[in-house]
Amino acid sequence: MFSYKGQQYHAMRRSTDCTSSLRKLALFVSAILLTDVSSSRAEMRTRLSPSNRSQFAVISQNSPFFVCYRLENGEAKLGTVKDRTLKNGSLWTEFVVPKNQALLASLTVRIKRFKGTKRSKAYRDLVRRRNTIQSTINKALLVARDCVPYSDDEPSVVEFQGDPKSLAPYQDKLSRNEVRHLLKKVAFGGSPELEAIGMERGLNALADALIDGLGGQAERDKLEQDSMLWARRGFYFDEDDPDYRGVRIWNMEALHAAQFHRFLYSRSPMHEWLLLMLAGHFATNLNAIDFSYSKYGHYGLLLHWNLLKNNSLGNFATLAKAMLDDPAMNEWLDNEDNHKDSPNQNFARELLELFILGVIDPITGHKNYDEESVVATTGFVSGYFERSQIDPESGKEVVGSAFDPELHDQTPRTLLREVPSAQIFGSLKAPELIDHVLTNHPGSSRYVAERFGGQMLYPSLDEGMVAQLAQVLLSNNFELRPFVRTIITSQAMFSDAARNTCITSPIERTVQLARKLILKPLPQDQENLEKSFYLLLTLRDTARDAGQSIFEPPSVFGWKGACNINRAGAKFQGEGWLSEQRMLNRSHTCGDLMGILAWLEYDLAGSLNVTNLTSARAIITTIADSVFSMRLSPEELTLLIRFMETEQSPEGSITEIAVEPHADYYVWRKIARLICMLSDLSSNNLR
Amino acid sequence: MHHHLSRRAFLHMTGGLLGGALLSPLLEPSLLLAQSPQGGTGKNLIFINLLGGLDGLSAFPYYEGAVAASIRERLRPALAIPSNLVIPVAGQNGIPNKIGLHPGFSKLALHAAQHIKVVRGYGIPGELERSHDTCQILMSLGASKLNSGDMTGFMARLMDRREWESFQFWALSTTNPPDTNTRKKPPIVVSDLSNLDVRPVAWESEGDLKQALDVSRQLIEIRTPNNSLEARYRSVQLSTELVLSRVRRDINNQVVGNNLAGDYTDSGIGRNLRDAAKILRAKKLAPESGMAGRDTMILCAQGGYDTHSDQGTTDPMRGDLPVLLSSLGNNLAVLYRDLDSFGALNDTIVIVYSEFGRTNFENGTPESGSSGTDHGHASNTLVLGGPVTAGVCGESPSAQELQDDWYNALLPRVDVRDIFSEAIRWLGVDPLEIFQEPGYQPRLVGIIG
Repeated sequence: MFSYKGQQYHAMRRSTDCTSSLRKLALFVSAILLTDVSSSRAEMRTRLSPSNRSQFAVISQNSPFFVCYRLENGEAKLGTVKDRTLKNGSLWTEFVVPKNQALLASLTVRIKRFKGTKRSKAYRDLVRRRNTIQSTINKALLVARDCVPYSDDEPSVVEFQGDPKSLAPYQDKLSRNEVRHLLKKVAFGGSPELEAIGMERGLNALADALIDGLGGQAERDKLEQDSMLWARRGFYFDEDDPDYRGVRIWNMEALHAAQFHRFLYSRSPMHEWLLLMLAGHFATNLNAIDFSYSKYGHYGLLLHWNLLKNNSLGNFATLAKAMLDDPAMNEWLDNEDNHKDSPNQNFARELLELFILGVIDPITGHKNYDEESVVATTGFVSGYFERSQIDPESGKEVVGSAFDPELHDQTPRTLLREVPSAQIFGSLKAPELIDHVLTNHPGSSRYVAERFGGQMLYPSLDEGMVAQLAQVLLSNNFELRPFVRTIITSQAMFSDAARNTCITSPIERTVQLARKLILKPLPQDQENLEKSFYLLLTLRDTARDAGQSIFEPPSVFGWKGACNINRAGAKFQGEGWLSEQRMLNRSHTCGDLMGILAWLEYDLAGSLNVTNLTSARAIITTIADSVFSMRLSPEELTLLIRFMETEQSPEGSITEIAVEPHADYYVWRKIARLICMLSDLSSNNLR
Repeated sequence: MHHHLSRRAFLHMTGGLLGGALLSPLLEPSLLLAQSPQGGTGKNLIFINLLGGLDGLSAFPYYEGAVAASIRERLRPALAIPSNLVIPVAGQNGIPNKIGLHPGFSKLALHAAQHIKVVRGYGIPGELERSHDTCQILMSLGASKLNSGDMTGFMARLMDRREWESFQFWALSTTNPPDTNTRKKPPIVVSDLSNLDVRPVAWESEGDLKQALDVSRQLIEIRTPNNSLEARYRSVQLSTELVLSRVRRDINNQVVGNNLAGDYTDSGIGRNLRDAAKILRAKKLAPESGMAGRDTMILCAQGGYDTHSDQGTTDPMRGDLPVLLSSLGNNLAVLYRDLDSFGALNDTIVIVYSEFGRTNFENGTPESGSSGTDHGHASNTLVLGGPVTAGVCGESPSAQELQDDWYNALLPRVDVRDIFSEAIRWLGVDPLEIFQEPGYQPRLVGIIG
C-alpha cells in the first residue's frame, strides 16, 4: 500500500513459475487503473498469458489508464492497447507488450476497468477519453515511481503547480520543458536566447521579452528595412531605384518574401505569430483583390500588411476601425460599393459575424444579432470609397480609401433590438458603431476573448475562462498587450490542457522548422539576392501546398478547420490540416526546404553543430534535442541509427556506410532525411 | 424479442405494418425499406458543394409566368436573365411559372438534358441565420439547428453506419470538417490525384528514398500517440501511404476527359470532376481496385459564389456568376460523357447544392457599381444522372414572398435533407438512420425517376 496525493493505491503481485529462459527476463509491470467516474470503484485484475512472468498492478482513481513496464535494460516502455471490449457491464482492455530483442515473449494483461452500461454517460465519457493518456502517463509514472518517463519531457504533474482553469499568474520559475512549451504555443518555437531568458530569469522576464521583443529600436528598424527590401521591389518598382538591381518581384511575391523574412529573423517571434493570428481573423485574400486600375494599386496590400504588423499588440478596437479605411478590406468585402443608394451587406455582415461580435454568445448560447442589425449595420458602415493618395515614403500615387458623407446612409435604424444593453435606434458612423458594439454588447468581448484565447490556449475554453478573458479586454479597453500577457503567464497556459491541443498550421510548421535550421542571416548582396529570394518563396510554397498561404485565406473565414475557428459553437483542433493530400504536402515541406538549402550550399551540419560528431547516435540525439526538443525511445533510436549507418540500393540490398557529417553527400542524403523524418512525427506537429 | 406472440400482440403488430404501408407518401416506413448489403451495390453519389451561396434565381431562372415578370421588372432589372436566353427544362407542361437553366449551362444541356432535374425552392428549413459558416455546417450536419457537440456530418455518418471502407468516400475538395468527421474508418481526402506522390529529399537516390519511406513508416508505427489528436494525426499518416499506393496502381492511370463534350478544365472543379471520373472508371474497369460492387460517395466543391457585387450585368454572360456556372456546367458535361462511356451513368447521381440562395432584390445597378446580391435563404439547384429524368420538382415562389421587401429572400419549399434523403434511399439506406434530428421526416421530392 502506498499513497500519492491522498489517494490510496493497492499493489497486487502475482508470480508464477517461469521457464528457465524467462528467468533471464526481469519484467516489472506497473498497471495503473484510473477512472474518471467518481461513482464507480475501479478494480484491477490481471490474467497472465501462458508465457508468464511476474507483474504488478496498481489501483488508483481519476484518470484514464495505461500500462507501463520496464525492460531488462532499464528502459521504460508503454504497452500498446490491443483490444477493448465490453463484457458483462465492464470494460476490459487488453494491453500487449510486443516481442523485441529485449523480450523473449509477450505479456497480455487484462484489466477490468469499469462498471456500467454502454448507455451510461460515464461509459461514454470514459470511451471518449480513453486515448487521452499523456497527462495520465506522467502522473501514473510518478505514482509507479519505478518507471522512467516515456519521453524526456518532464512529467507535467511534477512541474505544474496550479489550476488548469485559472488565468491567475503561474509561478515565475519554469522548467526547460515549460519554457519550450510556451515558445511552441505562441512564438514559432522561439529562439535559443528566448529559451535562455525563460530558464534563467523566469516567466515574467520571458513574457516581457515576448511582448516587448528583443533588441533595441535600431535592431527592429534594421529588420524592417531588410524585410522592406523585398517589399519595395514589388510595390515601388522603379528602374532607377538603387534597390532594384535586376531582381524584380511581382506584388504578392514581394509581400510573401517580406513576411517570411520577418518570420525567419524576427527576434520578436510572438509578434509575428500574432500577426498570423490576426491575418486569419481579419481574413482578406490579398491575391484576389483587383487593384489593376492603379499603377501602384498593390500598394493597398502593403497598407493592409502594415496594419496587422503595427497593431499585433495594439488595440483591438483601433484595428477593427482601421479596417474601414483599409482599401484592401474595402475592396475584398465590397464596402467600397456600399452607398446609401445601393446597399451592399457583405462588409457589414462579416464585421458583425467574424470581426467584432460573432454569431452566438459563447457563454449564454444566444444569438448575438439579428438580420435587422445586419441591415442597420450596412447603412452605418456605408460611404467609403477608393481614391488615390500620395504615399509619404515614395511620393508616388497609390491607392487609398476615404469617406464621403454624401454617400453615407444616415437613415435611423434599430441595432441589436434583442440586446437591452446594446440596443440603439439612430444613425451611426462606422467607427461609432464599432465602439458601441465592443463596449456595450456583452457578446463582443466574449467572442474576441474566446477566438483569440482559444488559439493561444486550447479550443475548448470553458465559460468561466471566457468570462475572465472578456473582462480583461473590457477593463483594458480592448488593449491586446494585457490580454496576451494574462494568457501567456496564466496557470492555464502551463497545464496539461494546453499541451498538444492543436495541429500546427502549415505556416507554423514551416516557420518553426526554418527558424531552427536557418540560423544565419540570408545574404542580401547582389550575388546572392536571387537565391535568398527563392529560399523565402520556397518557405511560402511549402506552406501553401500544405494548405495555407499567408494573406491568401481561401475565404473570409480564414483557414477553415484551423485551430479554434469558433463559428456558431463549432470548435476545431486543426482538423482542416488533416487529409492525405495535405499530409503528403506537409511532409514535402521539409524536403523542399532541404532542397533549397542544398542549392544554397548552406552549412546545415555546421548550423546544427554536428559536423564534428563521429557517431550516428550523437548526430540523431543532438538534432532531436536542438531542433525538435524531443528524446527518442530506444526503439526509435535503434531504427534511426541503422538508417544513418546504411544505404539501400534500388534493388533493396543494404550496405554499411561511414558516418561523415562533414561530407556534403552524407549531409544531403542522410542528415537532411533524418530531419524530415523527425519533423513528420505526430508529436512535432502539435502545439 | 418474444418468440411466442399472443393473438392480440400479433394482430397489433400486423396492423401496425399495414398501417405503415398505408401511411401518407410523406413518410417512409423504414420497415418497408429493403436494406442493401453493408458495402452497397455499386452505386455512386457525387455531391458538389457550391461555396458562398449560389444565386438560384440566376442560375436557374424563371423565364415565363408571373414570377419571371416580377423578377425582371421589379426585383432585378439589371441581373435578370433575358427569357429568350434561358435554356428551358423539359416536363413543365401546365406549369405557369416555367424555370430553366442559365445560358452558362448550354454545353451541359446539349449533352445531358434528358437527365437533368431542376429542384425549385430548396433550403434549410426554419428561421435561418444567413451566415456562410453556420449554414455550411448545417448542410454538412444535415440539421436545421446547431447542436453543439455533435460535429459528425451526414456523409460521415453514412460512411460510419454502413461501415464503408475508406476508399468508398472520397472528399476531393476543401470541405467543412463535419463532412469527413467519421468515427470509424476515415475517408480519403485528396484535392488533386495527379499531384499525390512522394519526393526525394535533396540528394537522395531512388534507393535512399525507398529506405527512408520504410523507416518513416516504422517510426510512425512504433510511436504511441499521447492523446486522441495525436492518434488521429498518426492514423491519417498511415492511411496516406495506403491511399498513395492505391491511387498509383489503380486510379491515376485511368484515361478520362477529352470526349464529345470536351475536356476538364484546369480549375478546382475541373480537377475535382476529373478525379471523380478516374475513381469511378477504376471502380468499373479495374477489378483489382476492390471498389466494384460497393457504393461510392464523392464530395467536390467549387467556391466563389458569394456574389455581393460583380455578379453580372445586363449581358447574362458577363460577370462572376456566368464564369462560374460555365465552368461548372462544362465540366459536368465532360463528366456526364465519361460516365456514359464506361457504363457508370445509370449508377450515378450528382447533387449540386449550396448553403443558401441570395436576396430577391439586386444590390444597386451596374451604373452604381454594385451589381450583386446579398445572402438569402432558399434557392434552386439541379440533380443529374442516369436514374434522373428531365423535369422539375419542388415549388415556385409565391407572389407574396417575392413582394416581401423585408425578408427579401425565398422561403424553402423543399427541405434540403429531402434531396439528400432520396439519394440515400436510392442507395438502399434508411434516411432516418442518417438524419436523426428530432422531428425530421423525409418527404419525397421526386429527384429520381
